[in-house]
Amino acid sequence: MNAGPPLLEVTDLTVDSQATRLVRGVGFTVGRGERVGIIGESGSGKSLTALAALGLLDDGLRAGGSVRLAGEELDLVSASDRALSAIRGKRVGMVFQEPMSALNPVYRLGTQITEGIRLHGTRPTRRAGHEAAAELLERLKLPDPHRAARAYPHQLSGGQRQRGVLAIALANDPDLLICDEPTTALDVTVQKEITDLIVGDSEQRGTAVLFISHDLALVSSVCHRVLVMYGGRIVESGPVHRVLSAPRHPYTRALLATSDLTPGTRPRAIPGIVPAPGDLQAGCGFSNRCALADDKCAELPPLLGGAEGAVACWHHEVPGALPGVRQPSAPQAQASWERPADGEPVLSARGLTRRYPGRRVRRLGRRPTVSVLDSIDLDLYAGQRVGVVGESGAGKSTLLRLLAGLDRPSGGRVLGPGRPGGPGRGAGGLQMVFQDPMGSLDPRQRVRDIVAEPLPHRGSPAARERVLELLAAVGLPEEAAGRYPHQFSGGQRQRIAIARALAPEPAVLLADEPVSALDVSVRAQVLDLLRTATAERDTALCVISHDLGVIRYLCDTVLVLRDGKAVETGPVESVWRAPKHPYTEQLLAAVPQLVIPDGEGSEARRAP
Amino acid sequence: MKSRMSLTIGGALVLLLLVTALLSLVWTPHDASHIDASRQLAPPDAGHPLGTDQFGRDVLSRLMEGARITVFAGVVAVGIALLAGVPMGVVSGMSGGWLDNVVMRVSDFLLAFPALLLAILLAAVYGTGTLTAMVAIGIASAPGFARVSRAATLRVMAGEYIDAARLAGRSRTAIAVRHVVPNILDVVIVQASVSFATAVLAEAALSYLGLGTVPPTPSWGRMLQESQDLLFSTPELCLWPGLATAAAVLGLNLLGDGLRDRVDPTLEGVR
Amino acid sequence: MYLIVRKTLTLLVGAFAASFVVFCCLAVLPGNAAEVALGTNATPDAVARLSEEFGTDRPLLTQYADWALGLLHGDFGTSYVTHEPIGPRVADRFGVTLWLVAGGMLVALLIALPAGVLSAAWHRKPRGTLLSALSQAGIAVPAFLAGLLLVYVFAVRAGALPAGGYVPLAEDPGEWARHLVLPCLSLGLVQGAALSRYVRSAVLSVQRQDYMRTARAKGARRWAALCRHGLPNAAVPVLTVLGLQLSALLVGAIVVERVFVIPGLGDLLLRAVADRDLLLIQGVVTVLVVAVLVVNLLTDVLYRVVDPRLRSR
Repeated sequence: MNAGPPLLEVTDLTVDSQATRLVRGVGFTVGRGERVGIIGESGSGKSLTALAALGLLDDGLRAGGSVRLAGEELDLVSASDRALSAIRGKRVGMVFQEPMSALNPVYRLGTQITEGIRLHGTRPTRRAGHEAAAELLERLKLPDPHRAARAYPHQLSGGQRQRGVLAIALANDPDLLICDEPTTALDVTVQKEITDLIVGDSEQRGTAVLFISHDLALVSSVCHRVLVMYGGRIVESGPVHRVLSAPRHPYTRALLATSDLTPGTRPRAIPGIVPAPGDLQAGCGFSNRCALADDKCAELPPLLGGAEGAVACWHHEVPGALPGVRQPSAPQAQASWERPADGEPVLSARGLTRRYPGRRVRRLGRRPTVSVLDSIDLDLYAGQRVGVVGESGAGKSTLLRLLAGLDRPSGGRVLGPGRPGGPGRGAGGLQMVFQDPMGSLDPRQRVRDIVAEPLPHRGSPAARERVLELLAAVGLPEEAAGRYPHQFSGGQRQRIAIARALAPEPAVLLADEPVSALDVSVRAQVLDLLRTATAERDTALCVISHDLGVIRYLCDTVLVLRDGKAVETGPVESVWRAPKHPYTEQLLAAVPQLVIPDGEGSEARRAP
Repeated sequence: MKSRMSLTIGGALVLLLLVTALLSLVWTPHDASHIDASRQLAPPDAGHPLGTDQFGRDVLSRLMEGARITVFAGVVAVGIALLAGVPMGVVSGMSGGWLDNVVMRVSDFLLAFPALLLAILLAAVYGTGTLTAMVAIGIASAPGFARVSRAATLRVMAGEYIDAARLAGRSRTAIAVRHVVPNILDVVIVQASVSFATAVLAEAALSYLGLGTVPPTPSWGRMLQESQDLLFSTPELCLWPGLATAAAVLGLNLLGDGLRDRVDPTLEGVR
Repeated sequence: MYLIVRKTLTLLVGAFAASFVVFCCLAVLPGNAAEVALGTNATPDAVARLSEEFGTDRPLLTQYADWALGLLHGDFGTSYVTHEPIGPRVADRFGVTLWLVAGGMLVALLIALPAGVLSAAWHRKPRGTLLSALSQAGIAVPAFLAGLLLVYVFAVRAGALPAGGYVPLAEDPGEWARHLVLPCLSLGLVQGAALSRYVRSAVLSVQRQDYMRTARAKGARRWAALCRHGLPNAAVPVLTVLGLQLSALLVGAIVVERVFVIPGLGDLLLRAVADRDLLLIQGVVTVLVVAVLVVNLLTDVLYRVVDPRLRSR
């Protein structure tokens, strides 16, 4: 980067709601043209930090401390709305998480882009405004930019909309671009396009970027420097390569270990749950989940360090891997799984097709049909773990619902539990784990009733016994039985859902994006639970996910879906090593990789 | 915080209404329909805290009995609307398809008959009376319940726990009873308290028009109508039934609002 | 275009069904129209003669078909009681009610829009709470009570405005306006209070949308973002309610006409009920229901104009 005063200087920033302090004194700088990442899980305060810097906090929240932008007299925290308005959109642009809702549905995209230009002085004519908007969209590599500028948001895809939001943010060539989880809601291939655009623009025009994400790999591919936040504080900061190769804070180390789902390692999840801001204990906020914690941690560790970064931990000099965090792998199941020579599949689908009525091309004309799923064949054997990957719209969820019998196929058939000729839905049948751990549990029922739902004699003492057994198996205490779903965290809820699915000892377990709604630090816990629970009873598992890492970690066989068609299938490792279909290749290439310079990193860690 | 205030004030006013109505069943200061020619339009005193009307009847006693009519009107109307509307909404939301279509068309159509108009029509056919009026209001409010509970049912049915229950082998009835009804109950309660307020207003309006409660039974709307001619001489006669009606409706609306704030998930999103 | 055709068809079907329901309601009445008209001590002979004159001795479906076909030409039949044609009377009265409703709507909008927007914008401040409390109190007051209060204050106490009655516009525009002020206020105040709650909640929910943050991130000031980005989106749910409110106003007018002794449709209806003039009741109720249906159609079309997402459907 360059010397000289930083572009953005944040000092001792705090954000308070009425009852609790959500951001607890955050300080950092962003240099001109520098790309800085903020990493953290939900509740870490990373998004609030960005919003507070621009004075965009919700009404109920108050910010303290100071935020200074080079060349401005004002402290942005205490500045008036009028003063901030002159800076927002002009010198600082912002991109948000949800491209679906970030654009106003009643205005054309072009109008929304030129509005940003209009608000800051120049008042282009209608035509000039349209031209300017189209030019921006073209710069962002949107095909047919003139048409896109005339379109309403609902006529555009997620990726197109996010380019539109990016165009709004870049309309006045800002010095700083703040991106809050800009690609979380997008498919991997689109994600790569968007981040490439952000990096490209930054390189070309010297725009500084503050990039907020929960995804370590993504941040490592975009940023020069990274800040790790936990419980409203920065716990570690430094150049990306240093932090990822030689993390010092136990939280960073654990986060890295759990995020790395490479087979051959056995990532141990961070124990405990991500605390709510109000539940954070005094001193080091991470100490209750930390393997190194001792009495000293009751006192708040200061963030100390130099050019190579800073860390806030009393024990950051403890060398090497943390106890229990990264263990050598157990013998890998995926290597050992072979199709039983004489075995019958427990679930088998042939020519599975699902069509929906589409939109009429002409009024009163015939309704065309849209194929969401097109002639899929799938066999599932006992003990096998099949992963289905694909991007949104590929037909993953439709496939799973058809396999579960929750939806009727337009063509083809499924043989297996719950079908004529197969075992029933109850014992030995088919169960499912859903994506949204809150939505899949009835909020009005106690955990005991939820878990007992698929059991044949729900009220019996035997059933009650079985519920406790299941809760123990998924790692929940006995008291959990009497509580309601909202009293648990996301990861715990997903455990309850798994306990329910395992209750009747199903022959087939289906899982719909089982970890996509969970924080990174608890993801591995849930995946491990799914793996061991199915391995114990030779249950067949079929998982769908948009996250290729999850599939590779959990499954032995993979099926790649694209636009309702199976483009490739085979053993996970061989598909990863040598994808046959160009789409699989593209998909794999788009996944951001955690770049850890291996040898050097471990060296650095061992030599204090 | 504000929702708690609405709940408290609303709850207190509604409780006051209910207690007064119940109390009037066993005790009122005087016989509410007793005409005393010697005490016409008497000002308030110890025996008659709110004075007497143009027939010498005790205003307080009439107000208390009016509360009874008000509660009765609300219970009948909401009861009919609830019993007709909620099952319609649940069945329609759970089954979808043509049945859903038919139910929704019918409720759309019924919505074109405003409650008061239906009540006037029924009054023309069956004669005036509280019950007739409230049956009309009940029928006219049923589509509202059907829509609200259908929307809530659709939301519940989209939940993954319904899929889980289906995979657990639960029947449709069991799903309706165990999962759907408990989860739409709060929305229905909110609708009930708002409809109750509408019914109270409608009863007052109909009685005012002479199409609701028949004299000599005291009803607040009727009392207002009787006192209208005296607006120039003794305006306070209008005051008491007017205040009572407004307080009852305010209480019910506040209660509904407070409950809604608790139920509405979109309001929880405010960090 | 296609949409308007389809909606108009729905409207026609609805109007047909409504007229049929109204007709059936009154046809089940115990005793036929002739008996009602002649009173209790009429001879059976006289009743039979009059029934034939009215046409009420024919099968119900024929009667309905006759009446409904008449309606299509604006012929509402002839009253059994006054023996005057009903159509012109209804048309005459409808005009009066329309003025009342239009005035009431204007008052309601003038109150609801600013009050709703402000109380949403200030929802965390005491003045927002005050506005919202005022609107709650406003909803709780029945329209006729509001009318009585207004009469008491402006007519009895101040003597500034007439307590009731009506003067046609053509006769004396000044007096016409003076006579309509209080009725329109009493109709509009209450509806305005109710409407302001919907406006408030629509604006509140719009304020939480992500695009509002996008607008502010562009550099729009708080109020500018609300006006340019918030209000057009808040208009969609408010328009839906506006349709319902208009029908509520039509019905509320019945009561208010009674308070202020205004010769409108409501007055006509209540008189018809008192006189048991069945054909007149049929006519007025059908007109009111069709008016409600037309209002629904208009709002339906209007909010497609506002929201581009609905246009393509």
